Formats: sequence, C-alpha cells, structure tokens
Amino acid sequence: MSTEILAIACDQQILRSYTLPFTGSVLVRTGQEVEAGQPVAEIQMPERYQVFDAINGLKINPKNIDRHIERLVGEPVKAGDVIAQKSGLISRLFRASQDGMVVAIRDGRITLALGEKKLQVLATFPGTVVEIIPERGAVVAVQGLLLQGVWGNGLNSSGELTRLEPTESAAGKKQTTADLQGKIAALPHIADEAAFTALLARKPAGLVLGSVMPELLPALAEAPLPVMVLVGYGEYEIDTLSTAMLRQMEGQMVSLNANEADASEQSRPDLILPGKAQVSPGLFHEELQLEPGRHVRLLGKPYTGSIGEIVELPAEPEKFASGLVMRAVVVRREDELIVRVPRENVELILE
Amino acid sequence: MEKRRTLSVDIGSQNTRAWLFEQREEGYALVCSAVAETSAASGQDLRGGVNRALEALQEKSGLRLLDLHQKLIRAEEGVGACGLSLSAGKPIRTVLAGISDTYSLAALRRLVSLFYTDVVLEIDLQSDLNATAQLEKLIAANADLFVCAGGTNQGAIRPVRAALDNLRIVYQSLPRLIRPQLVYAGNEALTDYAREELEAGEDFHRARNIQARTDAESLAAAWPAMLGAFRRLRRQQLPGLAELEQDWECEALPSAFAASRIVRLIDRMNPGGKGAMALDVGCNSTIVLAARGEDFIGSISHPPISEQVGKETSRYSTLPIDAQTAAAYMLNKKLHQAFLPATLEDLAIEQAWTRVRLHYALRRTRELFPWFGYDPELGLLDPYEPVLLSGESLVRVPAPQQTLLMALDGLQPHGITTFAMDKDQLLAGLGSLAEKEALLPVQVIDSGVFSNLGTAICADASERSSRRVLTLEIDRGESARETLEIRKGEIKRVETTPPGPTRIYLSPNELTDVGMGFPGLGGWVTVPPSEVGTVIDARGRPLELPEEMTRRSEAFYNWLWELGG
Repeated sequence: MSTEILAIACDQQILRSYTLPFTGSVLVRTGQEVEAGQPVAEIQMPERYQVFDAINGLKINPKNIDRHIERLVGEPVKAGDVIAQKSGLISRLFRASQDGMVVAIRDGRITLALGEKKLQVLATFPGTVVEIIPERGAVVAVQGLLLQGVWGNGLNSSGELTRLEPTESAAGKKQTTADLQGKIAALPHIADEAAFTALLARKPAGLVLGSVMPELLPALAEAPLPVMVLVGYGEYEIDTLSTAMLRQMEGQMVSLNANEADASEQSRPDLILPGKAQVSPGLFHEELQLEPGRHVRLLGKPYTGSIGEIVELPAEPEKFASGLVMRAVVVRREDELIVRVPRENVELILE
Repeated sequence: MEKRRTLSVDIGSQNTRAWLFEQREEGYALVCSAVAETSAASGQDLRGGVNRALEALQEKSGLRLLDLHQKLIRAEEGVGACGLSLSAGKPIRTVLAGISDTYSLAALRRLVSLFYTDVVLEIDLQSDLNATAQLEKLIAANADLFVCAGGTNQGAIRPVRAALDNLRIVYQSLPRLIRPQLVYAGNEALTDYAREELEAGEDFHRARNIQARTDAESLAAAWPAMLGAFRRLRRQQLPGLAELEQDWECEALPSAFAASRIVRLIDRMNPGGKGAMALDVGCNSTIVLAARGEDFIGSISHPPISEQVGKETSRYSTLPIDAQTAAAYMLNKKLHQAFLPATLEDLAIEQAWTRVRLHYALRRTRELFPWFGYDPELGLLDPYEPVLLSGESLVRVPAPQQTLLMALDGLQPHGITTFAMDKDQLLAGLGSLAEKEALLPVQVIDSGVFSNLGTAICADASERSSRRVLTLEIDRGESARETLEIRKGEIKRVETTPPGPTRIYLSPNELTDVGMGFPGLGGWVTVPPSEVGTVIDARGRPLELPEEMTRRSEAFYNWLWELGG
C-alpha cells in the first residue's frame, strides 16, 4: 500500500531539480546562490523550420537539381543568402529569410532551420545549487517553510502572502481595485465562477485556495496566474496545520510553485517561505511511515481535511461501513474524536 | 523430483504484483501471489518494488526466491522461466502519420491502442498541410514514438517519402535525452528506404505492412515492431528495467498486450465458441479486450472527468447522489488514487462511476473498431462467453453480486453469457509467460484460477413493463422441478450451488429473445455452480431507469437485493 506524504513543515530542507527536456548547457555551479526566476540551464534551438520544394518552386528538372542548389547540408546561412537558383532570362531564387542552417536536402526539398530561440529552465525559489546534472540542469536547495497542496495549474510566481477572509470571495462582494497586485492571496474556499472572476479582477500574483467546487476546475486550469488547492474538491475547511503555516508566512515573500501534482513523480504543488538557515547538502530525509504518534490528514467524507494523530495500527483488516475489508489506522482527531479509517485514506504529514 | 517453478511479475503504476507457479503432477498451478508498492516515482529503481513483492512472495510460499544479494535464485533449486509485464510509466507521447484519416490513420490508432500511448498528433499525409507546417508540428509534438504507415504494397510512395524526410529531421535534430522510437508499418516497397533514410539505428523498428492490401488489415504484422519500440523506450525511462530483463532473461511486455494473449488463448480453448472478452477497470484506465477467431479487439481508455460524467455517475448511483458530489468524489480520487470507499455513499459513487467507465470504454472501443458490436443505447450486441472481469474497481468489491450488477449495467449484454472474475489479477501475469511456457496458462486456467461469478440470461422483450416475458423450469437433479416466471423490468437470480450443474429450461414468450436464435425460441441451458448464480435480466435494452433520483436509486437497490447482494 502506498502512503501519500504531505509536507506541512516549518524547517524543511527543500530540494528541487530543474532540468531541460533536451541536452543543453548548465548555467550555474555548485554552491551558487540563485534567485527565483534565474535561469538554471538553457538550450538554443531554431526558432522555426522552412521546407522548400526547389523542383516545383523553381520549376527545375529533377535530374538537374544538384546544379541549382548552392548550399550543402550543415552549412550556416545568413538572411538573404541564395540557397537555390534557376538562372535564365528571368532567374528564380530561393533565399534564406533569416540566419540559420541547411539541415536537409532530399529529393529537391531543402529544409532550413532558421533563427534562434532559447529554451530555459528557471529556478522557482531562491536557494543554493547543491548538485549539477550534467547537460541538463541542477538541484537547488533551501531551508524554509514548506506547505504542499493537492492540485496546481502548472504556473509559478512569488509575492507577499496575504490571507483573505472567507467573505471576501463571495460573489456579491465585488472589488474592482487591483488591491492584491503582486501578492499571493490565500483563502479558504471559492464556491463559483463569479467569485473567482471577482478575485482575478483584484490582480493577485497567485492564489492558494483551501477547496474549490468541481465546476470551477476548467477556470482554475486556464487561469493566467498560479493557483494551488490545498485540500481538495468540495467545500472543506483548510486543516489547522496548513492554516497555522499560512499564518506564519503571512506578510512575507513566498514562492508559489503550482506544479501539476504527479503521483508518478511524487511531486506536489507547494508554497515556500525560504529561510536564512544554511542548507546541509548531505542530509537525507528519514523514511516516513505510518506509526503511532505521527500526524495524518484524513481523506474522504465525513473527515476530509481534518488532522489527527495516529494512536493505533491494528494488524488485522477490518470491515468498514462500505462493506470493504481493509487495514485500518486509528486516529485521534484534534477534537479528541477517535476514528478508524482505511490506511489508504490518509496523508502522512511531514512536519 | 524437483518441482519446476515459474515466476511472473507485473509492474503497474501503483502496485507490483508477483505470482509463483509450480509444475505438479496434474500440471502447472498457482502457488501464491503477492503485491508491493511500485517503485517507479522520481527515477527510482523498479527493482525496489519488485524485490519487495518477491520478499512477500517468499514469506507466503515459504520458498526462498532471493539470494543474499537480493538476486533471484535461478536454475534447479530456484525459479526457471520468468515473465515480466509493465504498465508503469507515463503514457508514451505518440505521433501517427498515415496516408489518410479513414484508412491508414484509423488502423494506426487501433495498432497503438494497446501500448499505453497518448496520441499527441496525427498527420494525414494527404491533407493540405504543407511540408513546413508538418515539420513544425512534428517538432512541437515532442513525441517519444512516431508510427508511420500508408499505402498498400504497390501503392503511393511520394507522401510517405516526404513524411520520412521530416521524421528524419525531427529524429536527428532534437537533442532529446530519451531517443524517440520510429515504427514503420507501411508500404513494404519503402521499408528499406525508410530504414536508410531515417538513420535511426536500433531506434528504427520495421514492421510488415498493416494494410498490405486495400481489403485486409493485420495489426499483428506490426506488433513485434511496436513491442521493440515499447521496450526500448521503457528501458530508457524506467531505471532498473533493462537490468531486470537481463537478470531474468526475459523481455517486458505491455501488461494489456500480455493480457490480450490470454483472451485470445481462452477464445482458442473454445473453438466455435462465442468469443472471449476481458474488462479491466482500474483507477487510471479501462481495458477492453475481445477475441473471436481471427478477430481481435483491444483498447485502453482514460475516461475524462466532466460535468457530463458527473451526471451519468449520479444516474447510476445506488444512493441518491447529485452530479456535483459525484464529480467532487471522482476528482478527489484522481488526486489520491489509492483512496478506497469506506462509506456507503463513496461506494455508491465508485460503483456508479465503474458503470460509466465501462460505457465510455466500450464506446471508445467502438470508435476505434467500428465493427465492434456495441451500441451505446442497446449495449453489447456481440455475444462473448466468457466475460472475464478484472481490475481494482471490479474485483475489490464487498460482494460478488455488486460486481455482477456493475458488469450487467456497464455492458448491457444480450442473450446468454458467463461472467468470470480474475481475483488475483492474473491475466497479464499469465500472458507474459505464454511464449516461454506455452502449457502454463492453459493448465493454470484449467485449474480454476478464475472464479465463476455467474451466468446471465438476458431476456430482451418488446413487451410492456410487468408483463410475463419468460418462464423457467429449473432442474437440480431432484425429483421436483421449480418453475419461475419472469416479468418485463425484473432481474431475478437462480442459485446454482455445488455439486452439480443445474439445468434450466427457458420458455420465452413469442416477443422475447433470450439469445437462442430468434424471439420466442427457448431450450435447455446447463449452468455450472457459481458465486452469484444464474441471473435473469429482463430489464430490457436500453436499460430504463426512473427519472426521479430517489426512485432510481431504489431501483438499483432492489435489483441488488434480488441478486442477494
């Protein structure tokens, strides 16, 4: 059985790999301090390609095509260079429209790679480079506060964290001023699209939401700013540990990395408050597992989002209300209520 | 005599399953199975999860399988042949290039459907797309796999040559860490040209033409090439796989492909039968496999979670649950895939969603294979027997009656069929051994590893509700025979308990079709003992559900009650 690990940690060593999808150049070195948004690695690629059919384009007899092509494969070209031509009373020319290179000539078809664009991978929080991944990127580390969520829309940004009251997201309460400009706003719940649109009008740099209604998902996914959901879909309160963490971060510059959660990569979206403490590169996390005394967040109704402490891990499987027989974990919630839930239905908290 | 042991391991996205088989006097038999969490996340070595599964297998079987260095003990005192199947890993980003949408592209979609692919781009070589636009699209696709086909063996070559030219540029120009694989399954006159032109070495996989003639399609002609491409990609993507294959002297198969071998085998074990079908509903995907003679159909689908799916799920729920609650459950389950329903409400949503996933998967299969006998309104028109049910959503269920009702509602079959359950989720495990130990799957299946869930007799009658449509005479080998009348809209169960088979005489009225050839025709049916029994489903096709939510959930509740669940 796989137990999900959820980090709500105060003094956590945060390690993140930043890698290119292709082989390229690494721009940082081990021990270097990097800022959020700083390029870690890059690759230069053609901006565009052009395929030119010289036989039809220049009306050339295919048998004589070699005579009319002026360049060789792999040769660099400048904007305006003649690549192929047919001379005569009215000569026909094919010129490069941009600087680039001839990448292929086959059957009279000339392929040019034109222009140049940089593909970069950027650090999403300030930290120290602790490892170089040759030709691909680097691992950046920072010691700080880490609050993970369950869903993100793939974007990231930084800004001062501000907490909004639940009533501030009510649809009727419209505020047209851009009072959240440059800030990461955290609020417990958004119920409908009107409330979300009203919030966007206040121009926040990012959003941290406790829970959202399912019908809002397309709008969140398409939002032009990073959005992270902490608990899940439905109407749930933010758990007490996450609330306490948001309080600690309030008013400070945080990095919101609303990565798409990927179970196969064990990655989650997160909010980071970088600390000043030195990172200790050789330190490994202890392997977390379900055991008495550990804190967990519960999944599934009626307990979704509540926090508790493991008091027992019965060895024998138990029959639940659904009729399924599963291995249980006994949890004492913060309100002292003792509940038994399937082991699959908890997130183990890394504190 | 030392018993010959055989091992099979299936590495899924969440779980790694291991099965140990032993050759006994009566033939091969399953000794035991074990499950461990897959270790494939964040570049972890696959062998971690595999070893944990093998350790669990050791503990259960009492046999030593691993040496002090955690290596599998082979040779006489250990394991002989090994099989390996794989569904872990991200979907393979795939580009299809074919000479026309309705012809070669349609065949390519069918070809790649069993190989855990995500088709990110399709290029119709006869469309207006110019060469520059085609190249730009191919590069932007950032694909792991390019599959190209088109043209019969004496057919057109010019558009295919142009596409190969572009594929070469994509292959040679992009400095990808994981080299893309290229499968060519088109006009055989161009195969050598393609190999030379692409200059891709072992990343090029040549196949026979899947459409050598205009009137014939053979997906099997390209399976070896697709398997080669799949393995080369996964070896680069999943650390530890190549070493595992080398140590165990076997090559990994895609799990769905491995399972398909067993479905084809079961079909061949019943020559002249109706054909065999397997359905696997897991949290990530639904697999449909069907074989009848030379015909084979297979697809993997990933049902979307949308407002419509929420509504449909709400419609099939055994408890009154609104679409928003259903959608929230599905989205949360997507976030926490190991989540299991602990409450009745969660179970009701999970089971309703399973029905909807079956509908979606069958519809998707029909889109890929237009000759597949499925109608979204009328259900599964083609007869298949047995229908083998597998996957967490169908197997991890409190009662077998619930599994059977989900299958009946999801498939809406016609006529008579038998449902079996693959509780050990063995299909892939057997399939990956089929080549090495041909007798093993046959003997293991014969040993009864698949439990007989029940026989379904679907009485389709154009009668009004509550009218008698069928009369049964049940012969249990005792002196007195029981009689049972079935009315339109009802679902009833006849217990078929051991020891012996039960004989049932079906006497339909003149408007009722029970799958004996035409409406009104009945006869004797012999049914073996099964977990649920024989279910007579006279609810009709399409399944008519009350509009009002509470009445609808009552109807499901009552049907389940009739089945004893």
